[in-house]
Amino acid sequence: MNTSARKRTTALPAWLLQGVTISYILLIVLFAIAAAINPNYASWANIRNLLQIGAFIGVIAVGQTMVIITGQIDLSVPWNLTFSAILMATLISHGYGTTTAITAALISGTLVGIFNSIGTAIFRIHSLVWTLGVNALMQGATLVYTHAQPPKVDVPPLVRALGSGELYGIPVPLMVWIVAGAAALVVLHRTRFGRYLYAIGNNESALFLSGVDSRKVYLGAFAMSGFCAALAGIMLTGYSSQTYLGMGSDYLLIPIAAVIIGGTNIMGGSGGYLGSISGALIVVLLQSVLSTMQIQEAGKDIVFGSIIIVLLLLYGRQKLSNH
Amino acid sequence: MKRRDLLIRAAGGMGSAMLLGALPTLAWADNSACYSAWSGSTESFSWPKKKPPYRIALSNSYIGNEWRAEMVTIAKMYYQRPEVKKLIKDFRVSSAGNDVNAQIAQINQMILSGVDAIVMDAASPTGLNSTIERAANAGVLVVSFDNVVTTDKAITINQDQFDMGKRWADFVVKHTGGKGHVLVVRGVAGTFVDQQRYKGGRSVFDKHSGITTTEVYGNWDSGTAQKVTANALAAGSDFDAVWSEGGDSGVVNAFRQRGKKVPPFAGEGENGFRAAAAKEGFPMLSIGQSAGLVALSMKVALSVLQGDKVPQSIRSPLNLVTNDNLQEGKNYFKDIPDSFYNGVSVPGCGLDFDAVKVYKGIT
Repeated sequence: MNTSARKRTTALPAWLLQGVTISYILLIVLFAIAAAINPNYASWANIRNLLQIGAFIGVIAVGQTMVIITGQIDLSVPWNLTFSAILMATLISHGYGTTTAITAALISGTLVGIFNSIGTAIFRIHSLVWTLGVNALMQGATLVYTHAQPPKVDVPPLVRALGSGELYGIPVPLMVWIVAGAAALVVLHRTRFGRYLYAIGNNESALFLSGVDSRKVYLGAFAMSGFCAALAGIMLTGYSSQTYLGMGSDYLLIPIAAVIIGGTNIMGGSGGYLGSISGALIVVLLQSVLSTMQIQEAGKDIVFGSIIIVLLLLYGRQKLSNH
Repeated sequence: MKRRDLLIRAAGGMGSAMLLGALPTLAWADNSACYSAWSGSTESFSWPKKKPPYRIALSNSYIGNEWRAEMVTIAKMYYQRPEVKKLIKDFRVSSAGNDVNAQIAQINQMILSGVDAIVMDAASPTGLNSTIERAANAGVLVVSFDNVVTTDKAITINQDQFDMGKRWADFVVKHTGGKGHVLVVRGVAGTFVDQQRYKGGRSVFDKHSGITTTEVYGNWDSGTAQKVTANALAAGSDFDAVWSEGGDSGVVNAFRQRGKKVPPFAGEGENGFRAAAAKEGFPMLSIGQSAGLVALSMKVALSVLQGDKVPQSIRSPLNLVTNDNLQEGKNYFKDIPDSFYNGVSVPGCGLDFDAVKVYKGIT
C-alpha cells in the first residue's frame, strides 16, 4: 500500500510514459508551436508537403523498425537505395519496361537485405558492423557499375507518380506510405512473424529453444528493410526526376532517428510502427520548421540532438516502470 | 575534326613549351589568358628543374559524387594527350575517401614510391600541411586544387569562390532592382567553399536594404535542395529570385511541383539547371566550378618541373553562362543526366574537353 501510494505521487501514469504516446504528444506540441509562429504551417499545402517528404522516411522506417525491434540495425540503406534506383534507371535507359525495371530494383534491394541477414544470423557478426560494410560494398558496386556517372534517363510517368504524383488531391507517395505502414502494423501485431520479431529482440535464446529458427526471423526483417530501401529509392527517383550518387545520403540516420523518437527500443524487443509514423513526421516537421525559421545548421543539430536525448531519458523511465 | 583538334592542341602545346623553355621569365605573361596570380602579394614559386619524363600522381579524397568522377576522368583524358604523355612516364590516380589520415598515408606512399609531383584535391585545408611539407623536403612537388590547402609549400590553384557568390548576388540585385525576397540555397555547412560563396553573396545583399533572404541548406545535392525549397515554398514564402550554390535542378523541380514560375536564378553549373533554363526561359546565371582544374594543375606541375616560375597561388577565371550564350551541345547537353556538372574545360588554357566523353568516362 505504501509503495503504490509512492508510485502514484512520483511516477507519471503508465500510459503517459508509453513511447508512442509521448511521441504523438510531442508531434502535436511541435505542430502547434510551428503554426503559432507561422500560420501557414497549418495550411493544407504545407501539411501535404510534409506528408509527401515524410513518406520517404516513413517507408524506410517500415523495414528499419522491424530490424530495430529484433535488436539489430540496418546501416546499408543509403547505398542500397541508391544502387536500386540507379539499377532501375539503367534498365529503363536500355529500353526495358517500367514494371520490369521497378521489379528488378525491388529484387536487388531485397537481395541486399538477405545478404545483411546472412552476416547477422549465420556468421553472427553484429549488424552495426556488417551492414556498414555492406553499405560501403554497395557504394563501391554503384561507382564501378556506373563509372560514377548515373545514366541519363527520362523518368517514366509511373515512377514520377510514385514520387511526386497526386490522386484526388492526395500525394501518391503518401498513399504508398499508408499502404506500407498498414502492412507493417498488421505484420507486427497480427502475425506470428511479428511476434517472433519482438521475441528475438527480447531473448533470442528463449525463442530458439522454443523451436523457432531465429535465422529466418532475421532474414525476414532484413529482407523487408532492403525492400523498403529500394522502394524509397524508386520514389525518390520520381520525386527528383533523376538518379544521382548522393540520393541516399539523407537516409542513413534520419529514419533511425524517426524509429527511436517513435519509442522503439534501440536494444530491441519493444516499440512498433505506430510510433515510427509520428517519429517520421516529427523529423520532417523539425527539419522544415528549423530551416524556414532561419536557424543555422549548427543550431538545428543541437535541437535535434537534444530532442533525441530527452526522449531517450523519458523512455528509459518507461522501461524502469515496466520492470 | 578530331585530328585537326589534336594538331592544333599539339602545336599549341609545343609552341608554348618551346616559348617557355626559351624565355622562362615570360611564363606568367604567356599564361594570362589561362590564369593569374591570386593577388598582388602572391609570391613566385620555383622548383629545381628536372628532366622529363616524370612520375605524376593524382591524390583524390572523396569519390561519391559526380564532380569528382568527372575530375578523375579529365585527369586521365589529359594524360592521354600526346604532348602530355611524352612528358610523363608513370601516372597514377588514387582516392582516399574524405578521410584526412587515409590521404596522409596515401601521400606518404607516393613520396616513398618516388613520384616527382603530386596533384591533389584535399580532404582538409589544414590537416595535410605537415605531410605536404615533408613531401616538399623530399623533393616532391605538390599542386593543390579545388579543396586547396593553406600551406605555401604547395602551389594552389582554384577559382574564386567569394567572387562566384558575389556575381550570383549581383545578378539577383540586377533582376530584382535591389528589392525583393531571395531564396538563398547554401551548400554543406562548415565547409570553406560554402563560407566563401556565402560571404561573397552577403557582401552584395547587405548593401541593399530592400533585399530580404530566406536561407536553407541544400548540401549541394539536388534531392536535399528540392526538399528544403519545397519546405520554404510550402511555408508560404514567395521568392523574387534564387541564389543557389548547387543542387539547382532540385530547386527548379520544387518550384515546378508547386506550380510556380521559376524566378530569376543564379546558380552552379549542373546540366539539369541549364537545360531547364533553356527550356523555360527564366533569367539565369550559371557559374560552375570547373572539373578541368585538375588538368590545369597537371599542366602547371609539368611546366614547373621543367623549370618555369609560376605564382604560388593561382586564380583560374570563372566561366559564366547566361541566357545569351546558353547553347545545346556547347554548355548544356540533351544526352547527359541532370546531375552532370557542365564545367569540364578551362578556357584560355587549351584545356577543352568533350563533355559527352567525360560523362561516358572515355579517356
